[in-house]
This record gives sequence, C-alpha cells and structure tokens, in this order.
Amino acid sequence: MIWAVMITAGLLTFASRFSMIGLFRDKELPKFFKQLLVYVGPSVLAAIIIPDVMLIEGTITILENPKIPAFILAMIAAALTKNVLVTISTGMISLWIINAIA
Amino acid sequence: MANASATITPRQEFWNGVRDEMPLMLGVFPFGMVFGVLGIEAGLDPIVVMAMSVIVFGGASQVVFLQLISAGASGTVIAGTVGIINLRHALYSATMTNYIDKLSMRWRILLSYLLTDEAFFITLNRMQTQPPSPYMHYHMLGTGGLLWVMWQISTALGVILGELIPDSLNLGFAIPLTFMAIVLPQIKSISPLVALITASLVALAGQELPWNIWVIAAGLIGMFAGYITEILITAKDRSAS
Repeated sequence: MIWAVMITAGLLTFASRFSMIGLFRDKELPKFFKQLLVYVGPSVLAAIIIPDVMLIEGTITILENPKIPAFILAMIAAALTKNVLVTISTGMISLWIINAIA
Repeated sequence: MANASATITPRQEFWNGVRDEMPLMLGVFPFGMVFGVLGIEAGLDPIVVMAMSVIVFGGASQVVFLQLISAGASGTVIAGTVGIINLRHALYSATMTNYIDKLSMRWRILLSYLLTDEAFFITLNRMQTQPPSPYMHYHMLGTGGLLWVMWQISTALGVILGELIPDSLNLGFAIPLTFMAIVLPQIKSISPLVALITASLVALAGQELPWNIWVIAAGLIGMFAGYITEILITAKDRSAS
C-alpha cells in the first residue's frame, strides 16, 4: 500500500518535471509565457520560504517566533556577503542563540 | 570569451555544476537528515524512507508525505498532495526548454528526474549569466547529481542517527535559508519584488486550502503580479519619454 502511494507520488512528480522538457521538443515557447517565467524564482521560492518561516505548528506567528529575527539576520548576511555558506550559517546560529537566550 | 566558452568540455561543465551546487549542501544535508528522522518517527520502515528519497526526490513534498501519513490521510490524498506541491516543477521544466535543444530522450528523462529546486536555479543561473555552450546540460548533471547523492546520504544518516539528532537544533530551518540565498540575488528591480511579496501573501492566505494547492497558486499569482508590474512600468516609462 505505502509502496503504491509512493510510486504514484513519484510518477506525478516526474510528470511535472518531464512535462515540458520531454514533450515540448525544440519548439519556441509563446513570448507571453516566457515573460511570465522570468518571475518563477521570486514567486515559487517565496511561496515555500515565507510559510516555513512565519508558521509555527500551522499558525501564523509573528510575536515569539525566533525564526523571524534569525531569518532577517540571515537576509542581512546574504545582502552583505552574497555568500550561501555565510547566509545559512548566520541563520542557523542566530536561531540557536535566540532560542538559548529566550 | 566566446572562444573560451566554445572550448568548455562536458567534463568541465559537469564539475562547474558540482562546484556551483556545493555551498547549498550546507542547507540540503541537514534537511535530508531531518527527513530521515521524521520518516522513522512516522513509523515507516527504513527501506521505505530511503526509497522515498529515490522515488520522489523532492524534499518539501516528502516531508508533507510523512505529515499526511501521521495524520491518517488516504493514499489518494497523499499522492495527490505530493503531485500538486511538485506541480511547480512544470514551470522549471518549461524554463529549461529555452536552453536545451536537440537532446536525446535519454538525456531529457535524466534531466527531468534531477530537476529539483536547488539544482534548477543554480543551473539556470549558469545558463543566464555565462556564454552558452553545446554541453550546458552537463552542468545540470553536476548540480542535480551532487544534490541526488547528498540527498540519499543525508536521508540514510537521518534514518540511522534518528533520535540522536535533537529537535532543538531546528535543522529544518536550513531549507528556507537555502532558498532565500537562491532568491535574493534575483530581486534586482521592482517587478520581481512585487512577484515575491504577492506570492508570499497568497501562500500565507491560502494555508487552509486543501491539497496544499497554495504552493502552485501562490507561484502562479506571483508570476502574473510580477509580469503585470513590468508592463505597467514599461507603459509609464513610454508615456514619460
């Protein structure tokens, strides 16, 4: 049972990934669609990031959410250094420190 | 420079991909371990947890898979939700078609399997900012290949170490940090910022929607918001000049 669910989930995931690469062979995308896709990064990644940071156990939590200040510190580190290792380290260490103090 | 790019070998493209992807492992590796731990906690067999990382190969959706199992959801709901969360990859797939011409079906299947958030955006950055080469797809073999190997190792480590990894480390927080490091350099003007803010608000507002449909809804609405902003700015510039 679990295997059937897992394989179905895997096939559906592969279908999304394969859809355009596999089936839309060597044709030009419509211009409008190309221009929309310029924004795929800011839109899709924000949709994953923001709930991850702002929600605690499914509820939007702004006060008493140590992830928010830690995330802001990591953003500052990212803007200043443009370095992925520094960004992730700053965020994680900030969260540990904030949790230890609070 | 154009000459230099023409001489980039497949091997060089591959290793450039591996090198470009490497810093993200600081975020991906803890996330894989978290998934391994959660899988065991959800009562799954270690083999099943490992197999999921191979079969689905999509971090966020694998965690939701586990949450739904623990919540007692039906198989249809679980597979459907994973499918909807990963619909965003169709947008990545569409973007990739701008850069891969005349690849064999074997390559297309392989690249599709490796088309994850972290591999896609790193290879896209190479394709957009460096001169094209006939072997650009090897770059994605490098980014996706490294990601795949590390995802399997970190899942296994999570399965093995299990309870030894304290919850208080909050290793799951590494993933929004990783995505933020990817997205921040893409915000260079107003329209991507509008896309980002719109998608964030829709994602938060849509949390109660069934099947985690908010992921793809927020993504699409954010993209339209960015595009419309771009049109409005262009129109304003034109009328001003």
